[in-house]
Amino acid sequence: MRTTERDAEFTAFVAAHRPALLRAARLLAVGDESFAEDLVQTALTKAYLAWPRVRTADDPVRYTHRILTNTFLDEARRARRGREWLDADPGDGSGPASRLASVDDGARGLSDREGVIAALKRLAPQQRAVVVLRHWLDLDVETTARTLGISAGAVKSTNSRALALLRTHLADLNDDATARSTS
Amino acid sequence: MTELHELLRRASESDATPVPVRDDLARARAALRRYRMRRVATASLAVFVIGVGGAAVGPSISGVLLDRDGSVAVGPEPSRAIPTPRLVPADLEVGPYVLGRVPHDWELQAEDPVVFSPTDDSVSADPANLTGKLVVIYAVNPVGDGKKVTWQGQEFVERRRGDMATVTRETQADEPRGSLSVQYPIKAFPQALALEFAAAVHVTAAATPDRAGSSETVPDSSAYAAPVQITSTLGAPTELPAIASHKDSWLFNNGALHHEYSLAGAANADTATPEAIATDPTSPAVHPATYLTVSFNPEVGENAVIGEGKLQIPADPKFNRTRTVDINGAVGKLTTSKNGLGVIRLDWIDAAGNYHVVKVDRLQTSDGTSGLSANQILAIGRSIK
Repeated sequence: MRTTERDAEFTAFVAAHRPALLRAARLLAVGDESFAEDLVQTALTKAYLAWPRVRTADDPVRYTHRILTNTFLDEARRARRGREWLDADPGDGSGPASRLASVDDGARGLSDREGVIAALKRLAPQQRAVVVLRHWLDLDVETTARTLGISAGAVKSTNSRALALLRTHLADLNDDATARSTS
Repeated sequence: MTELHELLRRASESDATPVPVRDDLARARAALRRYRMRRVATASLAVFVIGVGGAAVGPSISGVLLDRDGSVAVGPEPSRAIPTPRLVPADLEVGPYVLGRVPHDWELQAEDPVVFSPTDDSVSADPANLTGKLVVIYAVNPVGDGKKVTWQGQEFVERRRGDMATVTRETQADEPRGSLSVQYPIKAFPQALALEFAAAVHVTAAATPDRAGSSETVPDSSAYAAPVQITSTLGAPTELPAIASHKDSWLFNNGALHHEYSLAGAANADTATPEAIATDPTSPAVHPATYLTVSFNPEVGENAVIGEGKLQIPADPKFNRTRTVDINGAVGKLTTSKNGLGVIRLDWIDAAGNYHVVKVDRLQTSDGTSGLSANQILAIGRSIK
């Protein structure tokens, strides 16, 4: 296909769906706006390169969300391998190691939104991806499994553990808030 | 679950300013352009292998090399030190041009003007430095005077100066009115090859006078000089001072390799004036530096993702901004943030379709607070092997 045609279709696609991609990316990046923006930019670039496949996919939007999610998981794996940043992390929370930290020390005095983000931050990257795909994008188990390249059983068990953790963390935050308001 | 969806909805909200679609498109197009060039390079490599194999049994004429794909390299015997490039057929959209031939295994450095460079270390990695490179540019200027040369019915005018030459032709009826010039290094590129390359360039309607290459930015072609002034949106395209010495290298246990260099002179010496800093204190181009530390971590493979370079900047709230920069066709995002790092994205895809990343993780300069210009970052990123 000619570049001009690809450009026109891609531009229309980005205009229509970038906001939704960014919202999903914010959940995956647990509130780190610049990380979320990087994920979206990377996903869109990959989508453009694979545009002939994207445009003919059953659901191009879902296809691009799949790229986004896998980009996030790639980043998470890279950070876990410690191949970057662990020594050079500026310590300001801007590096992937900090972005993907599993513990949020600042979960006191949080707004509703911040509370949810703090709870999401405590989930492992794959748990977070499952929560976003299943409960934000409303994908069914089979589609989520295909997106992540894991079995349906793994999706169910990961989802179950993630929801349990979320409930616990959100309850902890509510308890903290209650304790503060009564002290 | 409805409650969870509502919580997620709130968590996904932000007041951040939306990014213009054109930035996504520019970034994606730059990646696609590199991808296509790498594919062309692979194809040309295959042709080269076939050509070498065929040479043993095929025709052999001194000074004329025939390839099975029909491309022809005509000219004097190439120097032993500088192998003659060869052209391979293509149908490549680059900026406002469609190229019907591309030089085998040369790298596309910039889009408008088109700049190809050899992939060895014989020329500058800075796209703004055109010495030794193949350059294509459209101008609204007429062809001008010079030695007339005819190539397969097309008339060109040739001009030479030093080690460089240009061949220029009038644009054709289906192209914007003006002239098309191809500048080439005489030692590396036979004239016939330059003519064949130029004859296969088509100027599209996207080439307009307000783009780079307009009459305003192309000097009188009868007096060859650096023919193009390339501007960027981020500071002046300052040449990085030569690296005077290599001070140290060390490897962190996370795999990141660091080099430290002393520069022969202060970077940004011509732009780092008190007036410039007062005018735009957030510009990385206006801070001087005399040495630099480069950290990088090449990442190759299917799991590699588009990379980022990191440019250390002052921890000052007034630096909290993002700019998208377009430097000679290489689009990047340079961000500066409070207590954060500048980021410029450098990404490309190799012939096998893998993402490659050279990570210029940090450029920390001698004054401790400054960075280099985006041009310099790109030059460094490209020069690292």
